[in-house]
Amino acid sequence: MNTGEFWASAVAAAVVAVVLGELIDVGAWLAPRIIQRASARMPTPELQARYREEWLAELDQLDGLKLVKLAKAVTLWVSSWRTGNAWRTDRVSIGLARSIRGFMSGISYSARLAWQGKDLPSPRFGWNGQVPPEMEEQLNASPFLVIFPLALMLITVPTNVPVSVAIEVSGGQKFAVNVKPEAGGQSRCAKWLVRIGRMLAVGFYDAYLIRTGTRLREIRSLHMTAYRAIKFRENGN
Amino acid sequence: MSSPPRMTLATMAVLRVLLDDPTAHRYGFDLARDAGIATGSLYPILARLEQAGWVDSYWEDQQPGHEGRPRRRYYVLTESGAVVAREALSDALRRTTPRTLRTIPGIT
Repeated sequence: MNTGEFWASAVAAAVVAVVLGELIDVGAWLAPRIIQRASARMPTPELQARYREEWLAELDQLDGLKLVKLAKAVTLWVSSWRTGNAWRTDRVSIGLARSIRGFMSGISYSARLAWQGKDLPSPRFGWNGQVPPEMEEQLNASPFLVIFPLALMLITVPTNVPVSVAIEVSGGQKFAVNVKPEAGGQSRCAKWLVRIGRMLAVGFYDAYLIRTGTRLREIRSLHMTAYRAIKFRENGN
Repeated sequence: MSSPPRMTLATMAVLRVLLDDPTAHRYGFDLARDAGIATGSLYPILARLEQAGWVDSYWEDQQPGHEGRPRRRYYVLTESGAVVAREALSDALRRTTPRTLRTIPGIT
């Protein structure tokens, strides 16, 4: 090894060490934030506070590298959906919901194939003040505004909560699907009817989106925006 | 209290650890380590067991020697939970063990 190679290796090793050190520090910074996200999946504020404190205490007691804490935080985040689901009284099997979602995707895909190449207006979504006025009142009345094609989400939302799906198309077409809860005591059968109603609404919505030419990536991005908005509304209430 | 939890292998492992000493109070990562399961699998199981009333959880009282350490949440089997869990575990073991291995003559 000549002098040039030696110095190049030394500098490369130093850079790698610095980058690794930074990564480890980022891991230490990230782990509590991941725990925060994980605990936010619990259904009640009390459970959210409990799990946040519990998991942070557990991480604090872990010996080893900061990256180990990060890895543990990630595993807790991954499983937090199941933990939260275990505390939900109004829930259905995740496996069943996934199957339904798969079925819905099949419908959507068929719609996409059927409408491929057609000249149709692109949909635009009303959010952050862009909600059409005639829809706004209706949407504000709904504690859960769901713009999700995810049957999983819709059928796990408690059946006594109204759900709205809103779409505005740039060509001027507008529609909102508002699935209201049934009044009074809910039998198991009634709950399932509501869920099926929501699934149909979602399937229709999903198919409509694809029919109007929205790309799947855009849909996903819109759903994330909607999800954040839902969380915002929940926290704001 | 909700319906009894599903007896998966991981649930059985957690119950077995808890039943080893039903009066012992254990925290999450400690339980996961002894049960030999991932921490990610542990908390959904504990939540289901707690929902079913088999397990109780509480915050530790901070001892003077533990100052500076965040308080832990401990898990312990309830009295009724210990009885039901023992039955459920033996039932599950009976179901998952091949009949030919259940009784081996000469071995107790």
